[in-house]
Amino acid sequence: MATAPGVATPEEYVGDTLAREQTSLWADAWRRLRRNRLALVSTFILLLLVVVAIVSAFWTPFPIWRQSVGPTYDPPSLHHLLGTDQRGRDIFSRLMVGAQVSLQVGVGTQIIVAALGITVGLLAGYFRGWLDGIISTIINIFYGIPDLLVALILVLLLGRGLDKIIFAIAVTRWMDMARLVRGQTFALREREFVEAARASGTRPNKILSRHILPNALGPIIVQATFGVPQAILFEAFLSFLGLGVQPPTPSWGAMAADGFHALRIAPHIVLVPAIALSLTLMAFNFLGDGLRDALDPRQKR
Amino acid sequence: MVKRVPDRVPLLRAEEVVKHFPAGLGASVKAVERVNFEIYPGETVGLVGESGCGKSTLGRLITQLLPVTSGNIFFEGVDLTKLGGEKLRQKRRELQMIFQDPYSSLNPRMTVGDIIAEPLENFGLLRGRAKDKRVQELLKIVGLNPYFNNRYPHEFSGGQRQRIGIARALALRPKLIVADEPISALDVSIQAQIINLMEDLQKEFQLTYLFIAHDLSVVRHISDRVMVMYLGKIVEVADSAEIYRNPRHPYTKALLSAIPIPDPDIQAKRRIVHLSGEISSPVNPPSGCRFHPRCPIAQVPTPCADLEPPLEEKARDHRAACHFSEKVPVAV
Ligand SMILES: Nc1ncnc2c1ncn2[C@@H]1O[C@H](COP(=O)(O)OP(=O)(O)OP(=O)(O)O)[C@@H](O)[C@H]1O
Ligand code: SF4
Ligand SMILES: [Mg+2]
Repeated sequence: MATAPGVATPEEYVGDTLAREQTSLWADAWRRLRRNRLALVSTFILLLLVVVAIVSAFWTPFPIWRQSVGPTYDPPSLHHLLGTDQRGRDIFSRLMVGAQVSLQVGVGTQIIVAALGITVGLLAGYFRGWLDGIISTIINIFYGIPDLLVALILVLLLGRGLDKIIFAIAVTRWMDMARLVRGQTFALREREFVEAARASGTRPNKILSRHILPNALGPIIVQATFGVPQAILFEAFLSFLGLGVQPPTPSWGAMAADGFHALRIAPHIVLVPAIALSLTLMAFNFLGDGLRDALDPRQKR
Repeated sequence: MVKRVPDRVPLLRAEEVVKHFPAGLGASVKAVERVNFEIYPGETVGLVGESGCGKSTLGRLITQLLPVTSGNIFFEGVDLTKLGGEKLRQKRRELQMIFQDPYSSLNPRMTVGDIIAEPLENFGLLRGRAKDKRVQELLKIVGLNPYFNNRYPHEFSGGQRQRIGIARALALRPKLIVADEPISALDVSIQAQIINLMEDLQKEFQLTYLFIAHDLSVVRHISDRVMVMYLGKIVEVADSAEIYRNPRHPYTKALLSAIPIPDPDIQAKRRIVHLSGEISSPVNPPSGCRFHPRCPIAQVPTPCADLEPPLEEKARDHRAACHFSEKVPVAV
């Protein structure tokens, strides 16, 4: 039996052999994610989308603003890969820029949602009491007002710039994140390692940033991943209603709306952005599923 | 073993400490009910009792991880229940805790080195190289390889993790350590190692322990004095040897007879006291003596069901809360 720790010689350390190989929890999660085919394919699709969005900032086959770069309502051809729209604009070029808009809306809203939801959720979950009472009431009020109404009012008040649209969507979408983080914090603050941190004099700000947030990050990432397609869809819907990003900036929703009246003679004008939208939404959702399985703490230990 | 000298100044004194948890609809869980005791410098006090009797709650009240409902806890003469914020935080340096579950008590996202360094950082005690050195020294002290400071908790076994928890508790050079069932989650073979380690550390660093366990066999070896708790109340306190030899409360007697004795002849001759009935609810504790529904020598209704027996001196340095403590059969 190993005793007399004060005078232990190195050969006597009971800690000389480790129970498990050195792996970080994140490396474990990545290994699990890689085994998930759908999530992997989705990751590639989304990476492709990112590349397209970046390229479109510097180059598109045709200038997207200019009308009549070709004939109107032209079906897909070698010259215009995805055809042209009712104003004779190149749909492929507009689709590329639309990817940029969608990604900015999706990721941008989730950055705001995460910043707001995490802050509010941590505070409510950790300090509880009256602070939690106030925050929970505000959350419920926001849940009570229809998303579309909030977004419409904000867009009317603020205008239709991309940043304003992102802000307006985030305002309707932060509550799920706040509730998730609040619940996680509620559970984590009862864990013994948080008690241990308090017992050794750790201040609340450090308990939140070092102990609670890192352990809630898995579910937060999953939630944000599922939030991206929701925001993209919401923006597409706003644009479809003519309340989205200011034309002529092409949004997939606006492109679909443009072609709606000509669905019979030129279905590709609606189909192309609709398919791009569906693929993107699906990819994000499959990635979210994959991340959830990979990061699920119940599979640990 | 440290022998208690009656006029020594206690390190910690609990006076009429009460903890009730709200349980909805105006009801409350009476987890700790008007508890009084002292802990003297350098001794190990064992705290035993069945699951749910309030041991962990009492430990958390002492370390001020939970606020008391009422009562006072004096540590070196300062009432901890009156401290708040920064003053309490400063006091935490002297009062540390070792937790029951070596899995949930270490943050899985932090390296072992960061876990042990955190208490030092909280009080700005050491920086940079000096801090790293101290962390490695602490790992060495608890018998772990000092070069594992950049590893994560899940790479270690249960016993190794408990050593990490002990190193963290030692980092601030505390005076009192509350150890809440520190070995009950470990393999039997590992349990003795951790007990030995804690005993060695006590000698080396003049530590005082409140050692919580749910059965008497575990605390027998390590404790100078033993406190027995039943349904939120302390029912017996005595020197360790005395309480095993001469229990003065039927509940203590029952706990003792639950410990198997290796010798089959003695085991066969023992008068085993079996407890009838379930442990009562701390929401609605029984009237009078809380133990009366299960007590083999109770006289109901009078006095056991209507008069609460005070915790009083039955022999020298031996207190028990029972109306008929002289009728409790002697050990074995
Ligand atoms: N935070 C809490 N809120 C409500 N009730 C609680 C809380 N903590 C403990 N209790 C209740 O208080 C009583 C005492 O619990 P405690 O954990 O102190 O018992 P214990 O003696 O440590 O038991 P164990 O041996 O199982 O650890 C139990 O009835 C428990 O359900
Ligand atoms: S007071 Fe009565 S019920 Fe309580 S332990 Fe003593 S004999 Fe039993
Ligand atoms: Mg307990």
